[in-house]
Amino acid sequence: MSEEEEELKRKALKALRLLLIETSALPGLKGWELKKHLGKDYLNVIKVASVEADRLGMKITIIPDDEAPKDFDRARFVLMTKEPLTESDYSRWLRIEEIASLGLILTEINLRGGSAPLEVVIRTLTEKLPRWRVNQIISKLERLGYIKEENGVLFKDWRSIVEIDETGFMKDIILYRREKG
Amino acid sequence: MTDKKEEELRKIIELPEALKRVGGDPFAVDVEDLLRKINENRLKDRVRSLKYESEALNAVSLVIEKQEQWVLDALKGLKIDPELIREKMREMPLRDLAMLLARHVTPVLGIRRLSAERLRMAMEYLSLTEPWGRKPKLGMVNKAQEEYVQSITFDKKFEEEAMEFYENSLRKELESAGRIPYREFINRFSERLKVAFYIAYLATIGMISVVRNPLTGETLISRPLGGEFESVAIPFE
Repeated sequence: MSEEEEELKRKALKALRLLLIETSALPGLKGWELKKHLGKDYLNVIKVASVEADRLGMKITIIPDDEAPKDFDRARFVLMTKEPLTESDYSRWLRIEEIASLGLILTEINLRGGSAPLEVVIRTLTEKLPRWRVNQIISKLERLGYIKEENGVLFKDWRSIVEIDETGFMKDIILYRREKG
Repeated sequence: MTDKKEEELRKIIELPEALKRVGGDPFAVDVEDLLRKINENRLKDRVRSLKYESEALNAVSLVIEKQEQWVLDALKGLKIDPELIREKMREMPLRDLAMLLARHVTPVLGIRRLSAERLRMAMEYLSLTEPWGRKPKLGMVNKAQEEYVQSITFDKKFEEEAMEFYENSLRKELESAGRIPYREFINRFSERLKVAFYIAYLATIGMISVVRNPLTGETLISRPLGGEFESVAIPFE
């Protein structure tokens, strides 16, 4: 391995460490932050880091900035698992009723073309859960970045977009049959 | 011979553009056949061959991308009645709905660090609290029960068991009866303490409510109710 390659690999491992350790309320780092730590060629370092992450069952995802979708410096780089959650994993993610509520909210948002009135979502959720719990869950999902509320309307937030394969989820809902017995 | 091979590779390279121009079903293209052709038509000049091969492979990936887009468009084109989906979700137990979503989640990873300030706060807090051994006992619980309580770990398995208990033993009865007397219900089971824990857990997460009739003092299990709530101890005999 040449000196240059070794340096690249060292930087790649550093990139993985940086991405894994949260330094703010949001996970991962912005492109400009990575540039500061890894140098100008940080995108090449990220390519090598992706290969290393792949070996560990992880992947690096780039979340474009809403205002400058083509600017890598403003994009957020996050580390994710490569495979979806298994039954034994989901407990460490959210509680059952919180996951189910997120599913209901995302479906309502999708069925309405990208946004849903908060009132309607609350009405739907209170068919299954008490109102006080619904309020708790909505606040938690907002805090975690799954949904965002603007003037009484709910939208998907960055985490839903990045973490959830909605096409697969919708397909499973359509194909769902309740087991009898 | 080389010209013929080059010609074959060039055809593959131009394929995505041709598909774009003419349109049509991208699945009409046999991707496996294209890959076989790329493999068979390697040029003698290594550098030229690599150039052509990489361009051809890129073209194949563009065709596959078009195929994926085609499937997505076809899915979007399906007229699925939103009310049908809403109705399906209304009938779906929370656990099933959660499992369906969890299957399609790849979470973002991150390790939270404890800042120096938080660490200082934690140390201050710890210095003010009594050690575990000096904590007063709960009382009213005999030794066997205490051991039993300690053996119940509030992990995911417990949550799942509680949800399963709700699905199998509570949901239907609550739907038909509306309210069930707490004591009578608990006494139906041999593992009464465990069932009491399930009830307490299900009430905490809002799957059910436990209410007390102020006139008779009777405790009832009911479907989830809104409004104010409070934590109460229910004597266990």
